[in-house]
Amino acid sequence: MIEIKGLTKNYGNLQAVSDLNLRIEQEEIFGLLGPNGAGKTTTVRMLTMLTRPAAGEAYIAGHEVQRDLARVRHAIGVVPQHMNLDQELTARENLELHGRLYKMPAAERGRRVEELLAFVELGERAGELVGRFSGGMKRRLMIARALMHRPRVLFLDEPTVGLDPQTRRRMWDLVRRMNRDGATILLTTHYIEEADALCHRVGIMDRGRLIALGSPGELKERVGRFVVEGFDGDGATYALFGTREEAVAYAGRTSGGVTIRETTLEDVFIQLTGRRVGE
Amino acid sequence: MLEAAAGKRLWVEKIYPPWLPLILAMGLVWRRRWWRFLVGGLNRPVIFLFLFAWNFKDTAAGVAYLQFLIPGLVVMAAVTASYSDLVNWFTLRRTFYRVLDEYLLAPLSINSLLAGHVLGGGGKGLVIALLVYLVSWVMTGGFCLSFLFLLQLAVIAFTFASLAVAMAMVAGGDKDVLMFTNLIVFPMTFFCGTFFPVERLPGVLGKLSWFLPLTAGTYNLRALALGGINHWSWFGESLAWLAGFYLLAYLLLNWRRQD
Repeated sequence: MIEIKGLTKNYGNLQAVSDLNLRIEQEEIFGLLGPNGAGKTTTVRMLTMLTRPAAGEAYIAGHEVQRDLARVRHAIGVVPQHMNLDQELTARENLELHGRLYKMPAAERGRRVEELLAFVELGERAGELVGRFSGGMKRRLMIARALMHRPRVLFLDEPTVGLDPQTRRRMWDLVRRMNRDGATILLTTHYIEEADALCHRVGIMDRGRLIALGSPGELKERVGRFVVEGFDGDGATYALFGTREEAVAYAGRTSGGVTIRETTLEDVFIQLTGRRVGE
Repeated sequence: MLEAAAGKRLWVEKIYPPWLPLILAMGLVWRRRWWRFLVGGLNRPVIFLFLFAWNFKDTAAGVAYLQFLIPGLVVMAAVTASYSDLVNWFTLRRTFYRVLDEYLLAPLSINSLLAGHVLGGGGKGLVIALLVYLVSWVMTGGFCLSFLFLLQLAVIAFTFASLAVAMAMVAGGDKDVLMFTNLIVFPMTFFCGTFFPVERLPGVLGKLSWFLPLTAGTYNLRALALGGINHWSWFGESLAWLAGFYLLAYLLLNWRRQD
């Protein structure tokens, strides 16, 4: 559904994305995981034609992104990282405007608006100005807007950034439901648990490069399923093991308090880069 | 439930100009705050009208000063209503609401994006300017209204709506807009034959003022309002300013997209 070949973007001397190659299958939830500045948003902006790549090419639903703008625009829906709703219009008017920009006829537009407002649970607030909405409500409305023209591929750029834990879980449910309804989803996140909970496959990006690719389970398997975490006086220590038995045996040989736990994607990231996601 | 991403478009695309939704969106916001836009657009020209009507009994360019002044006030109303509101509208939506990204993602060409804003902003300027003209006409009488008058007024309104889009593409925020408006646009409206003939300006200023974007349009509008006479050279000159500012806005919008 999405095919990326050698995508590269430079900002001056900084290589924001470097020779990215990736294939995302139909009806997959794919997560681009990495710290701020890893190149996730730049990748999304190149795929959604908001930024021109320095090199490489990308195909979405069989259409080349740089050459077949009109078809690609109809095939994709985008929820950007920043809020970009018109705050002087109501929720319903924002959706109506989107439908009109995509030339949906009035009857279909009206049906779709009501359906999506119900889907994101904003039906009762449809007539209110968006400027009065909370962050979570705005995010949900942005998702509804991205779905308005029935896109085949959805780009969600940090969809839960700045939301409280409860609203974040609600957004996860929305993402799962959209995927169940047939959407191919590419989401970027720097929340480890979000990628773990939602994504069929994850690509870990660091300094513009894709450094690992696979399902969360595969990636954890690759570095070891269990972690022994301790403290040696200078800082935290981590040791990764393929089985719980190996981890327990290692813990038994270690002096001081240690914790044995299952590996997370953050451990994978640390193992690959020597840094935490937030650093 | 949603067929959300099935990708099956269940509709046939409506046939209407792609810029029309942008004008409708502007209309929705303006309809909600119509009184603010109306008062904002009318107050300055109407205050000037009352002040000058009371205090000046002189003549200018061979006609009673008030007759001379009113077309100038109409031009000022067109400039203020089309430029000021649109530059604030677009700057806010580009830098703060970031709605420009939503437009750039939609199946909308740069030209349609520009046309929608220029037609919406300029159209509003045209309506406000016509209201000023009607109020003045009721007060003093003796003016002509023709198709060419409306066309010349529309050219002025769309010229400054184009300038508004161009400015909104380079402004870092509302402070930049305010500075450009106060330093360039607003003073310019005084030196383009709106309040007095440019021939009365001292020294070389009178000649220089003919190189400003509003002078030819103001003179032609006045000729059309007072005698129904169109000067094609002035009309052509103001049309050239419209083409120039439209092209500038197009290039800057395109630059912003690449950026």
